[in-house]
Amino acid sequence: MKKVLFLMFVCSLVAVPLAASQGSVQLIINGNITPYSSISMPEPSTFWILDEDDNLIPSKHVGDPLVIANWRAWKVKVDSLYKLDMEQGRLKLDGSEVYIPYRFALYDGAEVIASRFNDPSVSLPRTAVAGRPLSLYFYFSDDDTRWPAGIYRDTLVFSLIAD
Amino acid sequence: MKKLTVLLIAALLAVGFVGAAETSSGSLVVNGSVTGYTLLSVTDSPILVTFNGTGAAGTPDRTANLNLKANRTAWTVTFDSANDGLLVSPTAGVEATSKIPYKVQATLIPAVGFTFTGTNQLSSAVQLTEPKKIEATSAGRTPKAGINYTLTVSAIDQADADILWQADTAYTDTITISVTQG
Repeated sequence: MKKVLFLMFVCSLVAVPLAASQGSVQLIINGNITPYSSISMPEPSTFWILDEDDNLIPSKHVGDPLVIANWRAWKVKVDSLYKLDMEQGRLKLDGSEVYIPYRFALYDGAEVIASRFNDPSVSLPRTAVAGRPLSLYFYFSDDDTRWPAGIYRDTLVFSLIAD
Repeated sequence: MKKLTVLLIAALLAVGFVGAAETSSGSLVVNGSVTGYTLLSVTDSPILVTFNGTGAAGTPDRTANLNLKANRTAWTVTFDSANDGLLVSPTAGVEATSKIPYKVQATLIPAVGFTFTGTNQLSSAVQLTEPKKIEATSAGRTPKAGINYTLTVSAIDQADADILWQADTAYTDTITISVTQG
Protein backbone atom coordinates (compact mmCIF):
# COMPACT_ATOMS: atom_id res chain seq x y z
CA MET A 1 0.00 0.00 0.00
CA LYS A 2 2.81 2.39 0.84
CA LYS A 3 4.52 1.66 -2.47
CA VAL A 4 1.40 2.52 -4.40
CA LEU A 5 1.00 5.84 -2.64
CA PHE A 6 4.63 6.77 -3.22
CA LEU A 7 4.42 6.11 -6.95
CA MET A 8 1.33 8.24 -7.27
CA PHE A 9 3.14 11.08 -5.56
CA VAL A 10 6.11 10.89 -7.92
CA CYS A 11 3.82 10.89 -10.93
CA SER A 12 2.10 14.04 -9.84
CA LEU A 13 5.43 15.80 -9.34
CA VAL A 14 6.48 15.08 -12.90
CA ALA A 15 3.21 15.99 -14.50
CA VAL A 16 2.82 19.51 -13.11
CA PRO A 17 6.12 21.08 -14.30
CA LEU A 18 5.87 19.66 -17.80
CA ALA A 19 2.44 21.14 -18.27
CA ALA A 20 3.79 24.60 -17.33
CA SER A 21 6.77 24.59 -19.71
CA GLN A 22 6.48 26.70 -22.83
CA GLY A 23 9.01 26.63 -25.66
CA SER A 24 8.26 29.65 -27.82
CA VAL A 25 6.26 32.84 -28.08
CA GLN A 26 5.76 35.40 -30.83
CA LEU A 27 6.31 39.13 -31.13
CA ILE A 28 4.45 40.77 -34.02
CA ILE A 29 5.63 44.02 -35.57
CA ASN A 30 3.32 45.96 -37.88
CA GLY A 31 4.23 48.93 -40.07
CA ASN A 32 2.11 51.74 -41.40
CA ILE A 33 3.22 54.25 -44.05
CA THR A 34 1.45 57.59 -44.22
CA PRO A 35 0.67 58.67 -47.80
CA TYR A 36 2.96 61.51 -48.87
CA SER A 37 3.34 63.58 -52.03
CA SER A 38 4.87 66.89 -53.01
CA ILE A 39 5.83 68.76 -56.15
CA SER A 40 8.07 71.79 -56.19
CA MET A 41 9.90 74.13 -58.51
CA PRO A 42 12.81 75.93 -56.88
CA GLU A 43 11.96 79.47 -58.06
CA PRO A 44 10.02 81.33 -60.76
CA SER A 45 11.66 80.94 -64.12
CA THR A 46 12.62 84.18 -65.86
CA PHE A 47 14.16 84.23 -69.31
CA TRP A 48 14.48 86.25 -72.52
CA ILE A 49 11.88 85.19 -75.03
CA LEU A 50 13.37 87.01 -78.05
CA ASP A 51 16.74 86.32 -79.58
CA GLU A 52 19.18 88.93 -80.88
CA ASP A 53 17.13 89.21 -84.10
CA ASP A 54 13.93 89.88 -82.13
CA ASN A 55 12.53 86.54 -83.13
CA LEU A 56 10.83 84.26 -80.65
CA ILE A 57 13.17 81.60 -79.41
CA PRO A 58 12.03 78.13 -80.57
CA SER A 59 12.17 76.47 -77.17
CA LYS A 60 13.12 77.03 -73.58
CA HIS A 61 13.94 74.69 -70.75
CA VAL A 62 11.81 76.40 -68.12
CA GLY A 63 12.67 74.31 -65.11
CA ASP A 64 12.67 70.96 -63.36
CA PRO A 65 9.63 70.23 -61.22
CA LEU A 66 10.58 67.80 -58.48
CA VAL A 67 8.04 65.14 -57.52
CA ILE A 68 8.15 63.14 -54.29
CA ALA A 69 5.42 60.53 -53.88
CA ASN A 70 5.03 57.21 -52.11
CA TRP A 71 1.86 56.19 -53.88
CA ARG A 72 2.15 52.93 -55.78
CA ALA A 73 1.64 55.01 -58.94
CA TRP A 74 0.82 58.62 -59.71
CA LYS A 75 0.11 61.08 -62.52
CA VAL A 76 0.78 64.78 -62.85
CA LYS A 77 -1.55 67.38 -64.34
CA VAL A 78 -0.57 70.85 -65.54
CA ASP A 79 -2.85 73.86 -65.77
CA SER A 80 -2.19 77.38 -67.08
CA LEU A 81 -3.64 80.66 -65.87
CA TYR A 82 -3.79 82.15 -69.38
CA LYS A 83 -4.19 79.06 -71.52
CA LEU A 84 -6.08 79.37 -74.77
CA ASP A 85 -7.07 75.74 -74.95
CA MET A 86 -5.77 72.34 -73.80
CA GLU A 87 -2.74 72.51 -76.08
CA GLN A 88 -1.87 76.18 -76.11
CA GLY A 89 -0.77 78.32 -73.23
CA ARG A 90 -0.13 82.02 -73.31
CA LEU A 91 2.26 84.52 -71.75
CA LYS A 92 0.47 87.74 -70.92
CA LEU A 93 2.11 91.14 -71.14
CA ASP A 94 1.89 92.97 -67.81
CA GLY A 95 -0.78 95.69 -67.95
CA SER A 96 -1.97 94.72 -71.39
CA GLU A 97 -4.03 92.14 -73.19
CA VAL A 98 -1.16 91.05 -75.41
CA TYR A 99 -0.43 87.33 -75.35
CA ILE A 100 2.41 85.23 -76.72
CA PRO A 101 1.21 81.68 -77.37
CA TYR A 102 3.29 78.64 -76.50
CA ARG A 103 3.03 74.89 -76.22
CA PHE A 104 4.58 72.87 -73.48
CA ALA A 105 6.00 69.40 -72.90
CA LEU A 106 6.73 67.76 -69.58
CA TYR A 107 9.51 65.18 -69.74
CA ASP A 108 10.47 62.28 -67.56
CA GLY A 109 13.98 61.69 -68.84
CA ALA A 110 13.61 61.56 -72.61
CA GLU A 111 9.92 60.65 -72.57
CA VAL A 112 7.17 63.23 -72.91
CA ILE A 113 4.64 62.40 -70.19
CA ALA A 114 2.29 65.38 -70.64
CA SER A 115 1.73 68.02 -73.33
CA ARG A 116 -1.91 69.03 -72.85
CA PHE A 117 -3.27 71.22 -70.09
CA ASN A 118 -5.45 69.48 -67.51
CA ASP A 119 -4.78 66.13 -69.13
CA PRO A 120 -3.20 63.66 -66.64
CA SER A 121 0.23 62.40 -67.61
CA VAL A 122 1.25 58.82 -68.09
CA SER A 123 1.46 56.86 -64.86
CA LEU A 124 4.75 56.82 -62.96
CA PRO A 125 5.87 54.72 -59.98
CA ARG A 126 6.71 55.89 -56.46
CA THR A 127 9.80 58.05 -56.36
CA ALA A 128 13.11 57.96 -54.56
CA VAL A 129 13.40 59.73 -51.21
CA ALA A 130 15.17 62.62 -52.95
CA GLY A 131 12.39 62.83 -55.52
CA ARG A 132 12.02 62.40 -59.26
CA PRO A 133 12.96 65.47 -61.34
CA LEU A 134 10.87 66.19 -64.40
CA SER A 135 11.73 68.72 -67.11
CA LEU A 136 9.42 71.41 -68.40
CA TYR A 137 9.94 72.89 -71.86
CA PHE A 138 8.11 75.70 -73.64
CA TYR A 139 7.92 75.79 -77.44
CA PHE A 140 7.27 78.97 -79.46
CA SER A 141 6.42 79.53 -83.11
CA ASP A 142 7.67 82.79 -84.55
CA ASP A 143 5.19 84.38 -86.98
CA ASP A 144 6.98 87.69 -87.57
CA THR A 145 4.77 89.42 -85.02
CA ARG A 146 6.55 92.35 -83.38
CA TRP A 147 5.87 91.87 -79.70
CA PRO A 148 5.72 94.92 -77.44
CA ALA A 149 8.54 95.14 -74.96
CA GLY A 150 7.74 94.24 -71.39
CA ILE A 151 7.38 91.37 -69.01
CA TYR A 152 5.16 88.48 -70.06
CA ARG A 153 3.90 86.05 -67.48
CA ASP A 154 1.93 82.88 -67.01
CA THR A 155 1.31 80.79 -63.94
CA LEU A 156 1.32 77.03 -64.15
CA VAL A 157 -0.30 74.83 -61.54
CA PHE A 158 0.97 71.27 -61.15
CA SER A 159 -1.25 68.68 -59.48
CA LEU A 160 -0.36 65.16 -58.42
CA ILE A 161 -2.97 62.43 -58.64
CA ALA A 162 -2.74 58.98 -57.03
CA ASP A 163 -3.17 56.34 -59.68
CA MET B 1 3.10 -9.90 50.71
CA LYS B 2 5.70 -7.23 50.04
CA LYS B 3 8.08 -9.76 48.60
CA LEU B 4 5.50 -10.97 46.17
CA THR B 5 4.86 -7.49 44.80
CA VAL B 6 8.52 -6.78 44.19
CA LEU B 7 8.99 -10.00 42.29
CA LEU B 8 6.02 -9.31 40.08
CA ILE B 9 7.32 -5.90 39.06
CA ALA B 10 10.74 -7.26 38.40
CA ALA B 11 9.32 -9.92 36.16
CA LEU B 12 7.32 -7.38 34.12
CA LEU B 13 10.32 -5.12 33.64
CA ALA B 14 12.39 -8.03 32.49
CA VAL B 15 9.85 -8.95 29.90
CA GLY B 16 9.63 -5.36 28.79
CA PHE B 17 13.36 -4.94 28.34
CA VAL B 18 13.62 -8.13 26.40
CA GLY B 19 10.93 -6.85 24.01
CA ALA B 20 12.71 -3.52 23.44
CA ALA B 21 15.96 -5.17 22.62
CA GLU B 22 14.32 -6.98 19.63
CA THR B 23 13.19 -3.75 17.73
CA SER B 24 15.36 -3.11 14.54
CA SER B 25 16.32 0.39 13.35
CA GLY B 26 15.58 1.80 9.89
CA SER B 27 15.99 4.99 7.85
CA LEU B 28 13.68 6.94 5.63
CA VAL B 29 15.31 8.34 2.52
CA VAL B 30 13.71 11.40 0.97
CA ASN B 31 14.82 12.30 -2.54
CA GLY B 32 13.86 15.41 -4.43
CA SER B 33 13.57 15.80 -8.17
CA VAL B 34 13.04 19.15 -9.86
CA THR B 35 12.05 19.00 -13.47
CA GLY B 36 13.72 21.35 -15.87
CA TYR B 37 11.41 24.30 -16.32
CA THR B 38 11.30 27.26 -18.62
CA LEU B 39 8.50 29.63 -19.41
CA LEU B 40 8.46 32.50 -21.89
CA SER B 41 5.83 35.17 -22.27
CA VAL B 42 5.57 38.37 -24.29
CA THR B 43 3.39 41.31 -23.44
CA ASP B 44 2.56 44.44 -25.46
CA SER B 45 2.60 42.68 -28.80
CA PRO B 46 2.02 43.75 -31.55
CA ILE B 47 4.21 46.81 -31.92
CA LEU B 48 3.03 49.31 -34.54
CA VAL B 49 5.71 51.34 -36.32
CA THR B 50 4.40 54.44 -38.08
CA PHE B 51 6.32 56.09 -40.92
CA ASN B 52 5.50 59.61 -42.11
CA GLY B 53 6.03 58.66 -45.75
CA THR B 54 9.06 60.86 -46.48
CA GLY B 55 11.61 58.12 -45.86
CA ALA B 56 12.27 59.28 -42.31
CA ALA B 57 12.73 56.78 -39.50
CA GLY B 58 9.62 55.10 -38.16
CA THR B 59 8.17 55.64 -34.72
CA PRO B 60 7.10 52.57 -32.72
CA ASP B 61 4.08 52.99 -30.50
CA ARG B 62 5.52 50.94 -27.63
CA THR B 63 8.14 48.54 -26.42
CA ALA B 64 7.34 44.92 -25.66
CA ASN B 65 8.35 42.89 -22.64
CA LEU B 66 9.79 39.40 -22.63
CA ASN B 67 9.55 37.46 -19.38
CA LEU B 68 11.67 34.34 -18.86
CA LYS B 69 11.45 31.87 -16.01
CA ALA B 70 14.08 29.15 -15.88
CA ASN B 71 15.53 26.79 -13.30
CA ARG B 72 18.55 25.76 -15.34
CA THR B 73 21.96 27.28 -14.99
CA ALA B 74 22.28 27.42 -18.74
CA TRP B 75 19.71 28.31 -21.35
CA THR B 76 19.46 29.88 -24.77
CA VAL B 77 16.76 32.24 -25.98
CA THR B 78 16.60 32.51 -29.77
CA PHE B 79 14.99 35.30 -31.80
CA ASP B 80 14.01 34.27 -35.33
CA SER B 81 12.28 36.59 -37.81
CA ALA B 82 9.85 35.16 -40.36
CA ASN B 83 11.10 37.68 -42.95
CA ASP B 84 14.77 38.10 -42.09
CA GLY B 85 14.20 41.32 -40.19
CA LEU B 86 11.98 42.95 -42.83
CA LEU B 87 8.45 44.28 -42.63
CA VAL B 88 6.68 42.95 -45.70
CA SER B 89 3.40 43.71 -47.40
CA PRO B 90 1.30 41.24 -49.33
CA THR B 91 0.56 43.90 -51.96
CA ALA B 92 3.60 46.19 -52.13
CA GLY B 93 5.64 43.74 -54.17
CA VAL B 94 8.42 41.26 -53.57
CA GLU B 95 11.34 43.44 -54.68
CA ALA B 96 13.75 44.71 -52.04
CA THR B 97 12.43 48.28 -52.31
CA SER B 98 9.05 47.09 -51.07
CA LYS B 99 10.36 45.70 -47.78
CA ILE B 100 11.19 47.75 -44.72
CA PRO B 101 14.25 46.74 -42.70
CA TYR B 102 14.00 47.14 -38.95
CA LYS B 103 16.08 46.34 -35.91
CA VAL B 104 15.29 44.89 -32.50
CA GLN B 105 17.11 45.22 -29.20
CA ALA B 106 16.67 43.19 -25.98
CA THR B 107 17.69 44.98 -22.80
CA LEU B 108 17.74 43.13 -19.50
CA ILE B 109 15.91 44.86 -16.69
CA PRO B 110 17.97 44.43 -13.50
CA ALA B 111 16.42 41.91 -11.11
CA VAL B 112 17.27 41.43 -7.45
CA GLY B 113 19.22 38.22 -6.93
CA PHE B 114 20.00 37.66 -10.59
CA THR B 115 23.26 38.41 -12.33
CA PHE B 116 23.39 37.51 -15.97
CA THR B 117 26.42 35.57 -17.12
CA GLY B 118 26.61 34.88 -20.80
CA THR B 119 26.21 36.62 -24.14
CA ASN B 120 23.47 38.73 -25.63
CA GLN B 121 23.56 39.24 -29.40
CA LEU B 122 20.68 41.68 -29.08
CA SER B 123 22.30 43.97 -26.52
CA SER B 124 22.40 46.58 -29.28
CA ALA B 125 19.87 46.99 -32.09
CA VAL B 126 20.30 44.32 -34.77
CA GLN B 127 18.43 43.26 -37.87
CA LEU B 128 17.38 39.62 -37.65
CA THR B 129 18.82 38.60 -41.00
CA GLU B 130 19.58 35.36 -39.18
CA PRO B 131 18.53 34.07 -35.75
CA LYS B 132 20.15 35.89 -32.82
CA LYS B 133 20.60 34.50 -29.33
CA ILE B 134 20.82 35.34 -25.67
CA GLU B 135 22.80 32.61 -23.94
CA ALA B 136 23.17 32.16 -20.20
CA THR B 137 26.24 30.06 -19.66
CA SER B 138 26.04 29.80 -15.86
CA ALA B 139 23.92 31.08 -13.00
CA GLY B 140 20.97 31.19 -15.33
CA ARG B 141 18.38 30.31 -12.74
CA THR B 142 15.92 33.15 -12.51
CA PRO B 143 13.87 34.45 -9.62
CA LYS B 144 10.48 32.80 -9.35
CA ALA B 145 8.90 35.82 -11.02
CA GLY B 146 11.37 35.49 -13.87
CA ILE B 147 13.60 38.05 -15.51
CA ASN B 148 12.43 40.67 -17.98
CA TYR B 149 13.84 42.03 -21.20
CA THR B 150 12.58 45.21 -22.81
CA LEU B 151 12.21 44.60 -26.55
CA THR B 152 12.72 47.77 -28.58
CA VAL B 153 12.06 48.02 -32.31
CA SER B 154 13.59 50.70 -34.53
CA ALA B 155 13.64 51.54 -38.23
CA ILE B 156 16.21 53.95 -39.63
CA ASP B 157 15.96 56.69 -42.29
CA GLN B 158 15.98 55.70 -45.92
CA ALA B 159 18.86 56.95 -48.05
CA ASP B 160 18.13 59.68 -50.60
CA ALA B 161 18.48 57.25 -53.49
CA ASP B 162 16.13 54.69 -51.95
CA ILE B 163 12.67 54.27 -53.43
CA LEU B 164 10.08 55.43 -50.92
CA TRP B 165 8.20 52.71 -49.11
CA GLN B 166 4.73 52.40 -50.49
CA ALA B 167 1.79 53.88 -48.64
CA ASP B 168 -1.69 52.49 -48.19
CA THR B 169 -0.74 48.91 -47.48
CA ALA B 170 -0.07 46.94 -44.30
CA TYR B 171 3.41 45.73 -43.41
CA THR B 172 4.17 43.05 -40.85
CA ASP B 173 6.73 40.61 -39.50
CA THR B 174 6.66 37.96 -36.78
CA ILE B 175 9.56 37.18 -34.47
CA THR B 176 9.45 33.73 -32.90
CA ILE B 177 11.22 33.66 -29.56
CA SER B 178 12.11 30.25 -28.21
CA VAL B 179 14.08 28.91 -25.26
CA THR B 180 16.14 25.77 -24.93
CA GLN B 181 17.74 24.45 -21.77
CA GLY B 182 21.35 23.62 -21.24
